Amino acid sequence: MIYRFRKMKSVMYLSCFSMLFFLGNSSASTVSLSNPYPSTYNPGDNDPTAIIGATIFDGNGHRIEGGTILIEHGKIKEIGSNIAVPSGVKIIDATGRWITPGVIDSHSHIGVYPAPAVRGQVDVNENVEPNTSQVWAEHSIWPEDPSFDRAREGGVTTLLILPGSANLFGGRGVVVKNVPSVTEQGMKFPGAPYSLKMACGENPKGRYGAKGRSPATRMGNVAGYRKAWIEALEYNKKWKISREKHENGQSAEAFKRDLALETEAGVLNGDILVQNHCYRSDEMAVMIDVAKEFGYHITAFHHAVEAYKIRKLLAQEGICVATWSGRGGFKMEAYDAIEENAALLHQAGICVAIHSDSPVLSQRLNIESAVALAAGRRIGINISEEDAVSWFTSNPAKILGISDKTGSLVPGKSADVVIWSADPFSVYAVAEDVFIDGSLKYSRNDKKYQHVSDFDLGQHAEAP
Amino acid sequence: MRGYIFLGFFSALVLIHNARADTSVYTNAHIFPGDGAPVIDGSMIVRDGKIVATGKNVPLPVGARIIDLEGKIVTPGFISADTSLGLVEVPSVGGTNDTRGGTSRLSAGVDVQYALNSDSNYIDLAREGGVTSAIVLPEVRTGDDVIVFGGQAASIKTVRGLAILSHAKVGVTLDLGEAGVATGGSSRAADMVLVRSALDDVKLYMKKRAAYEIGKFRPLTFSREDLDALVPVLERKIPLIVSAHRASDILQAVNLVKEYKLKIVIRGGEEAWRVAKILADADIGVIVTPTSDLPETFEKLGATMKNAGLLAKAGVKIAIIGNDKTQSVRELRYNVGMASARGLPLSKALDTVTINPAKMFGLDKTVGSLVKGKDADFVVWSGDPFEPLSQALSVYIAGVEQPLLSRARALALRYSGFSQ
Repeated sequence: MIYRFRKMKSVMYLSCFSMLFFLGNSSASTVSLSNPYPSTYNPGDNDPTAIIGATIFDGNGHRIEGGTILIEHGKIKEIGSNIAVPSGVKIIDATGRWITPGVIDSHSHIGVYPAPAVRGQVDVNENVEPNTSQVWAEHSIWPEDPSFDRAREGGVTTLLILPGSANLFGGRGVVVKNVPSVTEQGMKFPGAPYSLKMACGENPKGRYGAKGRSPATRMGNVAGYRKAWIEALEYNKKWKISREKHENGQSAEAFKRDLALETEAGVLNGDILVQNHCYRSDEMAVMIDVAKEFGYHITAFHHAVEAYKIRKLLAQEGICVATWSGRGGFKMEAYDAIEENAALLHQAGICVAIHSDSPVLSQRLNIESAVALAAGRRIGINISEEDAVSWFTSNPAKILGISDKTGSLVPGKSADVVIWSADPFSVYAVAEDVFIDGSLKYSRNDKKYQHVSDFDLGQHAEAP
Repeated sequence: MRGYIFLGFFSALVLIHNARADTSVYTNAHIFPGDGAPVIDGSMIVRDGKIVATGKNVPLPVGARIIDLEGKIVTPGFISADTSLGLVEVPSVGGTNDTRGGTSRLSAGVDVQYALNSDSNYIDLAREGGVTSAIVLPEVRTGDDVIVFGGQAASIKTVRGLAILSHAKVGVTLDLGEAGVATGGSSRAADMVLVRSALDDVKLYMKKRAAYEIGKFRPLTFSREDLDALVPVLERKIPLIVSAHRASDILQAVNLVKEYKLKIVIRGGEEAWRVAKILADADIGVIVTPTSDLPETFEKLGATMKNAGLLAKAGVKIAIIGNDKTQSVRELRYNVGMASARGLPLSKALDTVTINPAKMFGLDKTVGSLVKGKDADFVVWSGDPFEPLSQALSVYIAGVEQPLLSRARALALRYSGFSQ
């Protein structure tokens, strides 16, 4: 089933390329899906490095005892147990320690729902109308949110920053590298696709129903999605006609861009991924039908505490799940949350990620994964640790559309690496060194590599 | 600890001739008693729901049921010092939610013992995480009314069945800082005066009860029920449970202790590490959520995962709790482990979820450690109890093994062999 998923992704990439090709030939007056807010990310110093002696979980289901990782130009050059270390390479002896790929949080609001979470800078929900596909989370991100630093201390190297779930269409999410930066552009993950945040259930219907407007029910939610997709299809059609006329040298009316429809059209064209907040299994099944009605693919259901009830369906459709292990119960649609969710999904061949939705939980996705792993073993699902590492590394990379770039320790991918003091499934494990693109961005034993955000700097209560 | 083992040994000898059919002996166990050194390859004798002896080479009473624990780890059942267990089923469903305190008519007088729902699913979840006792606290209702106090807390056992209430009126809650302002006055400057005014009224009420009864009294802000609830606080019989985060707010609570000779427990206390010595000297305990390490508000700028370790090293009695008051009560054991990895000495780790919370709320005569005379509330673990990969294999309350089948686990079992 994971194979099926990969196949679908490659189709999406193809459509992405063809769109870019086309855009290269289009004039600025036609709709543009190119990126007007480019990344300025700079990986920083990354000397050739060899990390030796550790137990390595590569994120792809392998465990290497006493392994070596060679890093060059910020990429993994070689990984294995019998690798000759070339001379002139910086050597880090990690004997007795553990290594995983950098932790990836597939559902975060750091920077948009920051700490301190005070009115002046909470920018997560544009909750004034149920469809706000036009807003982009990156335009809310406050890079000085101290939560970024705390997450990095927990081994988090990449995050998907999403708008909130108050709306049916919440807006665009953006993938960031968890590096200290004064600007959001300096964190933006180069080449990562955008995501559209959609939300089912209680949040949108509760938010707008309470205001006496639609959606007030789940059927109202679905009518809202369908109305938007009908308009997006129409928009796409008009744009294509306009494009063809333009290409054929015929006169065409100037095409006026619509930011919301542009994002939705990006989904229909396969350029933009869909991250769908949805708790209940019956609602997820409806959302799958909505996606089929309009010809788009849902990349992942988020929270999805009832996903375990529809494992066959999710496997068949190649949809990933980003979920918790322990959270649930706080509202009706979370009533059937079980700790065994991730293990049951994994067993069914579904790509599953343990996500946070919380700047506190983001710091310990390894431990939250251990809880999910233990829950599976309790009911006889014996998943190995080397497989479960995928829940906070390679699987979220798939959900973010960046698995060709990071998420596992294989030659050619980014050297996003965490050295842990102990087995990462142990509660006593702490991240000792965190590399992003081969550059040391956090070190537990060196203050020089412990970034303090401008907000924390100089406060009276700085911890020892 | 040596003394305990000796005593245990002695009473076990006496038992040889006294053993009855309801005596159980748990042998071949690594027992971490929660107050003192671990007993490796030890035994524990339980009779009539109470612990009779814990120790190494304890002679087996004749006729006792022998349970071989095959080298497993045994700890006291954990005590969560700050929960809403039994007060709420689905927080967003108002009808199931009794966590909120009173109105301007009733403040400290609110009493959670009357709201306890023994069938709450959250109680099952907590028990599965090895929690056998919990303090249930009312929250302070926010609004325009002047309320100040949250109400009276209770202690429960997470026993399956209707009889969960263990002790009513084990403390009275009070919020300081931002939450206090939301329930008291318009600022900290007003809130602290209202708190003092209330405590002064209680002192007067205690002194001149007869005059109050015949209506010869100046008007008081708080009702009779509120005053009655606060009397044992001023008598130092039960603690005032004070929610405070900022160091300066915590010091205001310390001032109350000095002025009114109160016994208090701090809840939250993100910046408590900054005033650790003062808290240790005043013997003020702190209920800590180690994972609360972000400056979520301006009163938590000093929040750090090192808080628990810094406090414990300074000699402050701390109780560690899970990540919320309901679903995640069970996560207290992971939080102990994470705090241990960040400075909490392992020798003090187990105390934070056993004997420390028991002492904070005056429950240490019956729970909190596995020593003679206390309730046989204990957990058999598959490994290190603070590790997520370890599981509670069996949970005993008053010597009775409890079912570990929450609604969540029933769902997992139903769907493990079935899916659409």
